[in-house]
Amino acid sequence: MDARISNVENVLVAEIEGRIDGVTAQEFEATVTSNIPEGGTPVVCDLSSVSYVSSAGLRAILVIAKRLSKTEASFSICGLSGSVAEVFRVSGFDKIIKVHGSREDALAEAKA
Amino acid sequence: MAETQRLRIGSSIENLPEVVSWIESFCAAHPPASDYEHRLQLVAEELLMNTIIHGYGKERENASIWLTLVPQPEGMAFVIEDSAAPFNPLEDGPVPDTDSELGDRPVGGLGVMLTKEMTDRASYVRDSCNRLFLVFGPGEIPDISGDDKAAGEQKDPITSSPIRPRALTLRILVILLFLPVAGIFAAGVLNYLKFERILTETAAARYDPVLRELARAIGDSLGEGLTLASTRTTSNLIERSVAQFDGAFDLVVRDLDGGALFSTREDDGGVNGIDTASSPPPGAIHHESVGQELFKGSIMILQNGVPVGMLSLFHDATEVRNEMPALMRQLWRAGTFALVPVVPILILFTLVIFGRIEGKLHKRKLTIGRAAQPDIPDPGSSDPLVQAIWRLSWRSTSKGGAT
Repeated sequence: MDARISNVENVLVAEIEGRIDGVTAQEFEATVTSNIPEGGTPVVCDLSSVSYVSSAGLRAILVIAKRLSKTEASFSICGLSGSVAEVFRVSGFDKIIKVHGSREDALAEAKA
Repeated sequence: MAETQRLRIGSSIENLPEVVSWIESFCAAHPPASDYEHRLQLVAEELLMNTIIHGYGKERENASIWLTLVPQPEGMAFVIEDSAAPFNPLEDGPVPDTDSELGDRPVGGLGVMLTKEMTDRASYVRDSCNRLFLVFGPGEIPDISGDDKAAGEQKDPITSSPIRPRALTLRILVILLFLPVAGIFAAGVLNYLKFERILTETAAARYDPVLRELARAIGDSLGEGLTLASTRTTSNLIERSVAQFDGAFDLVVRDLDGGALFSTREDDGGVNGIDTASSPPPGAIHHESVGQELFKGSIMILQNGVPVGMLSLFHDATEVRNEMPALMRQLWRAGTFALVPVVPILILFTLVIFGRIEGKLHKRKLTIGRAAQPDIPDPGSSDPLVQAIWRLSWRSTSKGGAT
């Protein structure tokens, strides 16, 4: 798993590549949360290069989402591929976390 | 169709990549599986993580988990086995509320739900270990208790023939065979020696009455003042006796100094003089063998109760001695016949009884040996000793893994 963190007009964009599984989920969670400032900031997770997410990955996403919800900063995900989207759907995560088709859509809403 | 694949991994999260590539290569070799590859990867991870974190936990780090992939015509079956505490993820697992809001959503508990959602059929069996069968595609739950089970080298049932004669049985057999053989041989030898002695003694004493009678006659014929050497009567007496028995023996009369006075033997050169020490007491007959060919019986000639010479009778010994090999052969035959029914019965008895004992010992050894390696989902025996060793061994392994 590789994570590329960038700041696009005060929105933290985490571009993830590879697998978010039992081995890498901790690293993913730590990388993203360590970049969130104390007061919180809108976060967009771009998972278009992620081929695989397991429940460990979902758990990490949930931890990030809960943390952000405390600061009332927005959190959204974009670019879910077929099999990853299936995991989101089956687990009901698509209902509790904002999922966008493209990064542009996600950024547009995060800035709003 | 691809073959059933088995993989054993230690209970550690670090081993997950190995499983990922194992599944990848299985799906590459079995095209119908590739449609389900993502689901399989997900389910395998969820179940592995579950066993590693909750099943074995830190206490049993690196304990074994067995994974089996069974190819099916339109998909595949996946079997995961572990020896952790009984846990049926299909029923015992938490059911997360997928409808709850973010704030209420508990962290975790999703793996088991994903597993159930991503598989087409699932079945849990708890016998000596946890076995979870999952089917991807329209196939049936595989029966890995039969042939597929044998595909796993580690899980081969301990097959050991019930009768297994080896070194121990062989040693006991040798000892048991040695006893009757040695006994019969010893009895044969002792009997032979006894027979030989009796036969020789009897044969040697064959002419004792003649010898005794003749010695008395010679003694009686020695009138007052006559010496043994001077009488013709002695010569006549012995020659007459020899003639009476058609020359079956020879007679020799000696004086006390050992000099031959009268003899019917043509060659008397080899006969020693009378050793007074070995002279028989008056009235008794001294028997001895002269070489292998002759028996010699000696008696003192008494003149008025005083020894004046010795009468010796030589007769053929070869006849008796020639019978000895036949006697020996007879004893051999008797001994062999006695052993013929004993030996096979003894061999059969030993092989069955001790072979069985050895077979049981061997099986127990194998079972204990296998139990001592915690690389098995179950020790394969209800033997309390085996169970105890198995538990101890995985404990020591998990300790070793932790340091």
